[in-house]
Amino acid sequence: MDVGGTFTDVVSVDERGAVRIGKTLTTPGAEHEGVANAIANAGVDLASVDILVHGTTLVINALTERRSCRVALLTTRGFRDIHLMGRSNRPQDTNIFYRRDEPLVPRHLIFEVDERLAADGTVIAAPDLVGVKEIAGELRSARVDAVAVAFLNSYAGSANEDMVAAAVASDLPDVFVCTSSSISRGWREYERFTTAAANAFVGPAVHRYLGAIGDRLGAQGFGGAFVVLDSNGGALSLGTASRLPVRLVESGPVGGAVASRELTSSLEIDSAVSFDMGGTTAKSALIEDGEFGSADMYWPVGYDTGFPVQISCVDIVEVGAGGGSIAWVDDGGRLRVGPRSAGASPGPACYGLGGADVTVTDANVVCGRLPADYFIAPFALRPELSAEAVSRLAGQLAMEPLRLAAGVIEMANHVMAEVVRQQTVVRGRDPRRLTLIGFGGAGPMHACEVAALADVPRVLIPASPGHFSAFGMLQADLRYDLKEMLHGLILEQDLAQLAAKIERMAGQLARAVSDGLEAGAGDARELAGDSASREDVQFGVVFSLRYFGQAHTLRIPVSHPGLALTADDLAGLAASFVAEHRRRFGHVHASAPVEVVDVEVNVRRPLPRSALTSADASGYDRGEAMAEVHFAGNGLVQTRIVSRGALPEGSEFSGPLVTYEPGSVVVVPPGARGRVLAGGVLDIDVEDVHPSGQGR
Amino acid sequence: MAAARRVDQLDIEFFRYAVRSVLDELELSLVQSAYSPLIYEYKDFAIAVVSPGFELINHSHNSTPGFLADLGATVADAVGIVGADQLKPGDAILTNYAAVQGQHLNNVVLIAPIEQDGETIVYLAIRAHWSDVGGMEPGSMSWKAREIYHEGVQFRGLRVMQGGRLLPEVVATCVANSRLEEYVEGDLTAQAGCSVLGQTRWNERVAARWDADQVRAMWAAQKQQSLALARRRIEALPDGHYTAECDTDDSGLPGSPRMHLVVAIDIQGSELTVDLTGFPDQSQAPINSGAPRRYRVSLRSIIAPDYPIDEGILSAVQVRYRQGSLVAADKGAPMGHWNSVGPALSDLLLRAIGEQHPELVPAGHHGSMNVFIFSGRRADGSWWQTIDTGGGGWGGNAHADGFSPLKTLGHGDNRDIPAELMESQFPIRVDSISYIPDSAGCGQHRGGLGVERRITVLDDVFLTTSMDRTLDPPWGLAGGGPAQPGSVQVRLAGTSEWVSYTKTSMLELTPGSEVRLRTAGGGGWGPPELRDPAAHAADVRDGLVRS
Repeated sequence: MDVGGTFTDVVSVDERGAVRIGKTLTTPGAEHEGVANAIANAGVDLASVDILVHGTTLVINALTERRSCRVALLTTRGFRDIHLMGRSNRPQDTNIFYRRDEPLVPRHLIFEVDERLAADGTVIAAPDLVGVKEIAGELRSARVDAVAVAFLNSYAGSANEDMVAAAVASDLPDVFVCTSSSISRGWREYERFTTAAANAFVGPAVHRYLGAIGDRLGAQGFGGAFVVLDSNGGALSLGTASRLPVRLVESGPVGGAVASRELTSSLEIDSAVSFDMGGTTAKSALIEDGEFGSADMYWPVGYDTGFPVQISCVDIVEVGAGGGSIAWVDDGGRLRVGPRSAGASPGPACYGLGGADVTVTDANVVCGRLPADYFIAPFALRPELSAEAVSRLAGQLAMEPLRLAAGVIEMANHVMAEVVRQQTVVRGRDPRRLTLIGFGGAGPMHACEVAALADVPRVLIPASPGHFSAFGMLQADLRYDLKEMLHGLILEQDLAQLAAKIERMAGQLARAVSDGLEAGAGDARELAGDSASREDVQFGVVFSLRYFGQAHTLRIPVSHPGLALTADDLAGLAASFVAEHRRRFGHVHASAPVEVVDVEVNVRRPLPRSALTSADASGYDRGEAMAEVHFAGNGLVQTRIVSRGALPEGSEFSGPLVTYEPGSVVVVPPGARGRVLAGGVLDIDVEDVHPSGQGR
Repeated sequence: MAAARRVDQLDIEFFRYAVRSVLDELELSLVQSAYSPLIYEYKDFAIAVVSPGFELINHSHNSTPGFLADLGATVADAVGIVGADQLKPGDAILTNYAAVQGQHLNNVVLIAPIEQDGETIVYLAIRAHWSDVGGMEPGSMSWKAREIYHEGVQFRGLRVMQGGRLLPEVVATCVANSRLEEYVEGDLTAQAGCSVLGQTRWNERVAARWDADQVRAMWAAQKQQSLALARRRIEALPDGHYTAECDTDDSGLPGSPRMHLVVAIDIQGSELTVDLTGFPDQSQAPINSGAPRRYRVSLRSIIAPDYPIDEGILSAVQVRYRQGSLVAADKGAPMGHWNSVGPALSDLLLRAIGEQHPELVPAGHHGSMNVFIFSGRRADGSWWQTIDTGGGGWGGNAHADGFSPLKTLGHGDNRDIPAELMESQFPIRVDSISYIPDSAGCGQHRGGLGVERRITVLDDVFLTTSMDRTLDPPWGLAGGGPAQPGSVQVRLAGTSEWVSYTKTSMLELTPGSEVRLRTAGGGGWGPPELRDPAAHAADVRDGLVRS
């Protein structure tokens, strides 16, 4: 179940793998109504549902649109202004009028508490609870909805934050209260304080929202388990999601990454990048051996003027290029594509809704890559409007229209290839060993050329690429992680102490993955099992390591699953770190010892899942045709246009070819060769594709 | 690309894109693998490619602008020493030769030829601030230095890598000249690693697509386009003679008087000249710099904020200067704090425009580097050090209040070192970091506030500072008021008096001593009586303005 800004999508799979899809308009402010409608729309009987997985853009929307509540921040005396200040940097270094966005908490709602921790977490001064009581009184009269408690050095110890949070909660029982250390154990005060503020900012709304959905579903007879998709690609129980709602910041887009992981696992592919292109942005994530490339910071409204959220999340790199991206000429005569987008309204010129600018979609129409007669959507395209817009812009540049249109597509492809590259070469991964998975409304139209530009030789296009992200939600595991800071060299760690710490963290995690499910009834209890037996629960341990004195860390997992840790493991971690450092940066520091910065323990509990069968192809077949299509590397080429459903499993095909299906078009350029796999997945070899206008 | 067809807009754009994408990837690699926080947090570096004729072609996203405009001349000198024909793929040389680059010796450039079709197609240059290159004091920026030779070791075309292999004896020699061994070794290794990666990426993204002739043709077209753009933007500015002046503090020489800075700008049609001939004579103190043509970049935010800096953009601006002055010091002059008057210079250029066209620029900003360096010795005798620069208020402008804190006009995405990092690594306690109420210039749009940072040292620690513009405050514009200037004060353990140390070197602090660094606010813009009462009420509510 995917509640987006515009649409609420429901995908259901039964035990035979049959898929049902429901789609309704999102009902802002009463999203649970939209959810119930969409489920009804999909023809699903709620009482028969075992497990409901929810992905939501509620958190990201609340943070970007700033519609939420009155938040107060309690912080260490002397550090009231940290949240307001940022880091003194000016990412737009030529902007002399630069400002950061308004802070989440205004200064008059930031209160200082007398307390202090040392950098190692030792309590120098316990919190002044008398002072906290006075602050609680002020918070009451200020009628705040949520309170964040964020103290200096609390990444190393949560005692003071916990004490103050408990005191505030007991004085203000109806207010959402959270601590920075419960969300992040990373250092950097501005980032962690702001993360706590963001969590408080969305807390009450998420709490209300999840409660309302639960009630509404319960009233309709739902008795199964209800989980929410986490930014790390796992699923969170309702209890955890309500406490740490800011972790849901990528809950929407992460579905595509999960679906990509499942697809690659089922095909036994080691490394892949997802490529999810829509109307305004393109997103990419890395998948290796069933794990995601991860990040520990996310910028919900962008890096330049926005604020950070310090959570562990799938590293989804995003760029402002999509089907709606507008091509324009600046006052220096430079041709640019994006970042402005025509969005859904007025949309590309060919939508006929008044858009006059050339968008990437229009360029595709002009090149014949998006054949209007085979565009399966509730409205018809008007190719003559695309042609007019492209001619106008081409006139400005004294360029032939077809060269311009192909150039606009190629420029967008370059921008998008960059996000794929950021997932691969920046991590020292050889793109030639990767597979790119193209989906989203516009992804299948560009995937082959984007892959070729980024040196990725193989492309997969799943069935129903427009719904692929929603499918991903059904394939998430329950997953949760905890992180604690460590100090010292990896080879000098006290093994017994470390093992005890890991065991303690694992205990907390086991509770976190079972409590949400046990709250359900019937089948769900069966599913959750006995929390004492950890048979279906998989633990993993990951260390953040660096050379002594270095700042940036690399995440190095212990090479085997489970919690056990031996001296050999520590030596193995150090060796893996050195190998990874060489792989990523091309060099090692022979004489420097390896230092450990933190340990993460994660737990995964698989949820039941059903295999998907291919989507039904009937009902949209408009037959087959030959048409002239312009490809940047080849010029005009006679190209076969065919319904995707007409390509049987096991059959082979080669470019040039364009396939159509509801909501999307797959462009297979000349030089590409492919095969239809089980489930209708297109497996395309793009090694001989020429993605560029000029070659040597 | 058919040889006959002329280079068109798409070719130029794809070329720009390909080169930029290579440099941006190198930047990520440098930031992730460097050792010193000056590189990975503060981002005190630049990565660029220059043509075989030593023209700047493109640079990575976060390159410090002040590091770019003189890069061509710096690369030219070092390559000239070695001989262009002596540089092969996989080679790299070092330079920080002050008489040419005109910056402190910490800024060390690693230069590597990038080869295509058997010839050097471009030079890759990676300039990074090394934490210590020897000299009188840790950090190599002593206020006591009176000549460049007091400030550390100089390299001029020193070959550090050959055939992709670092020369161990050269690395060892660099390290031997530094107090911060692991930083210098780590950062040098990171720079060299970038240069190897640079050749690989050039091969993949540039050479695989265009031959050397095509690359040259596209660069020529790009330069022409950039120059035409800069000229068009200059032409849109009203012709005229613009001037501005302000006082700055003493030079750092004990007892020296405050200095007076004067700038002028001449705009006639598409010609723009920055005139720095009114700058004072060079100083015995280490506030000198050279290579004044770097100030071709200083009006970039008005002329071409949306373009990468290249030789085309730069060549639209001329700089007039006087040899032997503060910004064009003679060989041998000390330069440890070479950028001390840089922020005031840049701000004066904006002020010159703003006095006649106040909508184009903000009011004055804090205008000072606000350097504070703590250092000390560990139990084993090795040195530790942490450097940062304090952000302050920026001026209000026609659109909004000035923001705070930000570093200077010459800075970009340079981040403060977090208190939590400092406390965990060094014997330092950060007591507070807070806005100073009423420190901004008033106006229709007020300036940003100054920031007070209070720090207590927990061990024997040395303090080095560099603050300017504490006497003549940041100015208002269009009727706005001036801000409060900054200060650096120290209260030694066991004493009760705060003593001012705006330009000091290796001041010995005993455990328990306190440092209070206050940065200036920004000037106000527009008459205060036009300020929106609601904005004023919010400031009072937030405690930023007391009345």
